[in-house]
Amino acid sequence: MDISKRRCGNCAERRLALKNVRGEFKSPWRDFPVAFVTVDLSLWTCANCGNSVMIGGDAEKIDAAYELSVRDQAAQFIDVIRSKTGIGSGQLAELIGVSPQHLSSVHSGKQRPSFSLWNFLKMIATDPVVMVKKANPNLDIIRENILLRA
Amino acid sequence: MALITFWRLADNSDRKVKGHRVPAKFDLKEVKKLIQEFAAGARGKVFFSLPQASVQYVIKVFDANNMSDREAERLIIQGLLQLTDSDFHRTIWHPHWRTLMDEYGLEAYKKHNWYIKFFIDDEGDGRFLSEVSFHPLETGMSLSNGRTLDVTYRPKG
Repeated sequence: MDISKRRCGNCAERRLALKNVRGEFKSPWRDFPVAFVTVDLSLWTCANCGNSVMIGGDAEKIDAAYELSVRDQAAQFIDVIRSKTGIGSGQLAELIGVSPQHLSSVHSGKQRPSFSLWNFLKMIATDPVVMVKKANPNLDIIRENILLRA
Repeated sequence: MALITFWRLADNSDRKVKGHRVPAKFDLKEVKKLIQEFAAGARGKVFFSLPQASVQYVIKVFDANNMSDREAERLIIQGLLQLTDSDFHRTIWHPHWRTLMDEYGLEAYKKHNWYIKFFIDDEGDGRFLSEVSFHPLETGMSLSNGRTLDVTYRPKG
């Protein structure tokens, strides 16, 4: 069956072609309002408007790509935070409020992180030195901004 | 003249001709046959041409359920299989696709009322179901049997 001759549901053009959408494809997935694919994923995509259509079997492919991407991204966030701040995995686990075992299984890719954990790690990884300081409940910024206002 | 007649038929919002509703353009039996072939492994029989309006929309609606694309696809397929002739709303002429599409309303399925739009494409090689929209109703809808469906889902934010 020639998929390339089918119409795109967005612009109705018949310009579908298989494309590796790594780094480009994003959509809601599980508890993620928007997840990003950062592994190889081939989808039929409109050359005119960029809409990726789905045929049978694509749902499984997309799920597998997101599963890998989200786990891989979380592991990379942990690596960035640890390498830039020098904190240990136990300290990091305490900082973000999860058990060291859970953080370890997320880091090794054994467990998929929840969106909230993934998002927290992402936020810290964007500016680890400052964020680790801000997120640390023992530091002054919390005392000054929350405790002293009460 | 023929073109004007066709346009009137296609653009008629409630598809009534001389007091009678016009039946759906596509036979539900054939629609369900294509879906069953899809479910049985003939994966080319159903085509999601705009996932943002179907699979991805369903995931967004059920975000608390941690839903995957495969689970959303399954929910859509099960919903389509539940359609009956009495769920038919109207047939519309889609200007971009230059084809007729059937619109249905599915009541109280997975806690919501749904808007469904599809057509059977037989251009090119083989017939397949092109699923264009499957999402909660965004406005009220009257069905061919006189029932009216209300909006049950309000997007967050």
